[in-house]
Amino acid sequence: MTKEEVLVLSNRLPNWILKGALGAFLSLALAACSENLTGALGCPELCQDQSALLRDTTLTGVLVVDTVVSGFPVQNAAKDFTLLSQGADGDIRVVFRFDTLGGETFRHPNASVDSAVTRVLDPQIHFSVDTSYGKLTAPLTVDAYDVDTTAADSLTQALVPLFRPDRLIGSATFASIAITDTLAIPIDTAIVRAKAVAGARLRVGLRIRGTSPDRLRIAGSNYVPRLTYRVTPDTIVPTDTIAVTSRTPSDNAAIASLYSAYAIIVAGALPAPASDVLAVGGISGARTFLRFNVPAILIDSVQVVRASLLLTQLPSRVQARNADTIAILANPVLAGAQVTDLNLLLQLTGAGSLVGVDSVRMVPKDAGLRSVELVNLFRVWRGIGEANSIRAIVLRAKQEGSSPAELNFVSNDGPAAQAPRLQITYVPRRGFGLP
Amino acid sequence: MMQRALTSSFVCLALLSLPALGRAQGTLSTQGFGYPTGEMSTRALGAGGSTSDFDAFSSTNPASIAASLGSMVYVQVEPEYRNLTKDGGNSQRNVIARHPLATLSVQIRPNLFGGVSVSNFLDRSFETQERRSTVIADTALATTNTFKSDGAIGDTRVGLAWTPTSWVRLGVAGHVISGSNRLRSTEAFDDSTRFAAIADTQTVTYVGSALSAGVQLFAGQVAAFAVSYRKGNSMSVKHQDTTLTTASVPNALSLSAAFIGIKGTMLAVRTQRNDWTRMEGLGSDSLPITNSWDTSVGADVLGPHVGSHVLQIRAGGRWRTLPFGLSNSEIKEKTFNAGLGTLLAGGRLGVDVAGIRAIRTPVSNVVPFRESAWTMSFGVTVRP
Repeated sequence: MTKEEVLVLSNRLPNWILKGALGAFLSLALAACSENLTGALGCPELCQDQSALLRDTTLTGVLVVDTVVSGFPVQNAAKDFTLLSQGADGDIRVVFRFDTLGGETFRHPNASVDSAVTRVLDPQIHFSVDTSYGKLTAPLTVDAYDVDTTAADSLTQALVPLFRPDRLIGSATFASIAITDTLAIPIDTAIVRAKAVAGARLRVGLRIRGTSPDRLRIAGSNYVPRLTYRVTPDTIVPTDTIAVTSRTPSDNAAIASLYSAYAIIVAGALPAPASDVLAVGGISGARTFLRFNVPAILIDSVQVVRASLLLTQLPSRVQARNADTIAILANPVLAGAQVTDLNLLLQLTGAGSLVGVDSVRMVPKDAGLRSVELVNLFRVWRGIGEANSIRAIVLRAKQEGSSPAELNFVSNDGPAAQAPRLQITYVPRRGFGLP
Repeated sequence: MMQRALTSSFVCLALLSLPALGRAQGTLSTQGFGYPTGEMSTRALGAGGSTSDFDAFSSTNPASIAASLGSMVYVQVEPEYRNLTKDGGNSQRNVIARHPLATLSVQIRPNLFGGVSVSNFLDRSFETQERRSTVIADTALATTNTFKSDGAIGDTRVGLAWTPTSWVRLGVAGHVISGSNRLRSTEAFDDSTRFAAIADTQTVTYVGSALSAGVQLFAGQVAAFAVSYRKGNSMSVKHQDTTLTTASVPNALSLSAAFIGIKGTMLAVRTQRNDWTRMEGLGSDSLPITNSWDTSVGADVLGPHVGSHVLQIRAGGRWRTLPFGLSNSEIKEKTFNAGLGTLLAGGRLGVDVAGIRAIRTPVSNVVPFRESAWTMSFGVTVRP
């Protein structure tokens, strides 16, 4: 290295050092913008205790309305159905309407024109089963009946007599382990062919039977029930598939569509309980409407930590399935004060889970004090004026109309000591944070 | 909060970054209304803070604005790496980002200078988390409590410095002492099924003012002396439009002496008396506040040439009692400081670096905590 090169290098070196130092400075300066502040070691000695002072109170007579209304889910509004076979305790059947049967054509392979359907092979009704609903322990048979009638077949009393042996058009027995997803019930070929050729409607009623009281949940919302059959032995021709469809009443397509599949309660629906008893669940699908008169200060001016609806549970008036665990939901009513129609209020509800209200599991035969936690609902109410959302909830079974099991509670008309009440724990407004 | 935001924005816009500022409580150093950063520049901190009354970038003495000798912008960043140790061996580390000082000086006339500085007066940002138990009716419930404070009390100083002769500099300044703490307290119950968490948010603001005046005297080329005094006016804490409490901004008197007989070198000693107890009444009655001395010695000497650049080498030490202690003990802080500085770009860009080792200890032995920290201070000066 020459002397000149050394001089050049010695002149450049400090610049590189200083530039590097400047770069390091900027990097560290940027790093200084992030931090880790959280500490626990110094507490409690070096920390201020910011714990809130909690107050606890129990509000009695806080319910201004407590009413039981049955008939849920609203008939035909549901897509999922429970077939129930528990004798007088509960008998629920399902009707599928295939009103668009007939009139189809198909094309043979290599043919240039369509052919009319003259044959029907291997007709089956398919529907999906909700296996999470309950595990079957014994074989179960599903019977299919031709329930087509010129009578008003939306009425239970008109349909029930049609579930008789001479109208049996299909049946299948399934081992409990075989019921996993979708079931197929073979239907009488002659019946389907006759209706298909004639362009007549096919209306099928399903009921189950087994060696023990059983139930089967049809998940119609996931998989539309359908009828399938082949029109020729040639497997190149696709299978004909007809989804449940109703064309009656003919003058109202919206209502007709509600009747494409629907349940009929044959037995087990109980009348409303006495006025001193609240009911949730059962074959009749009872819901309890509760409207509170909560002091405004507890919603608007303090921070509620706990809001427990305390209910005194009574042994269920229904003996059947009273050892089953029932999950009940507390759904908030979303209607404003201007809505006063109870049936409408019962339908204008939101899911409790959306506002952080958990379901509660209870056993119908049990008795004692039960708690439904509503604290998160109180906090939602705080953000919504009472004019926009009345302070009311609806207690309902998670799976309505699918079990005889019914939960009963003491109502406001019952003994005062057992009447529903609210236990509130709250934090009054406070100042905090100054050292 | 305003001060904190202003300072932060000033620095981080320059860095093309948006930082969050804060300190941790649950430590020895940030009790009460927070940690007093001292309003000193990196250059002064490198010398233990002893030269701050002569330093144009620091905001302790308005007469020193004249030391800027022209117009300039100065920003400073100061990450701190803190370690809290509990007797018995447990320790906790925190990283705290600080942007404690930004200064703008302009030369109005040949012997008249104006300056605006935004500095952290008391920093109170922290987050603590602890387990506690609370009783509802007759049931004890375990909770996890988190308390967070974000914000600071800042000092915005607008000052003028006049140099009537070569051996004297005079300065006056007005201070707006303002800021805010955004506070959040949460209390989460272990039994979250029945009990919802308690969450409170509150913002308190601080508003106060002060006036300060200072003088620097030079005895030839040998010695320099500086005196400054800040007279605090009223200071209040507000929540929204409501004044919660009122007290006063602390007065402060600082005295400095320096030997400048060697070219490019300053050997200085400084002490400052802070009447922190004038803040009594802003917080709770039980808040322990101590009037304290803040004393430092240090040297800022001309170092070696690196290429065409001249290095300044600095070292010093500082002793003080922190204003906000514990109910059973005051907190002492000692720092050992060292720093470097140089000019780049033909003197238009100044870069200063300082390393600070702080030891904070309670006076009383009954407090089972010790705290130490490494702070890196970086200052950049830009002259047009």
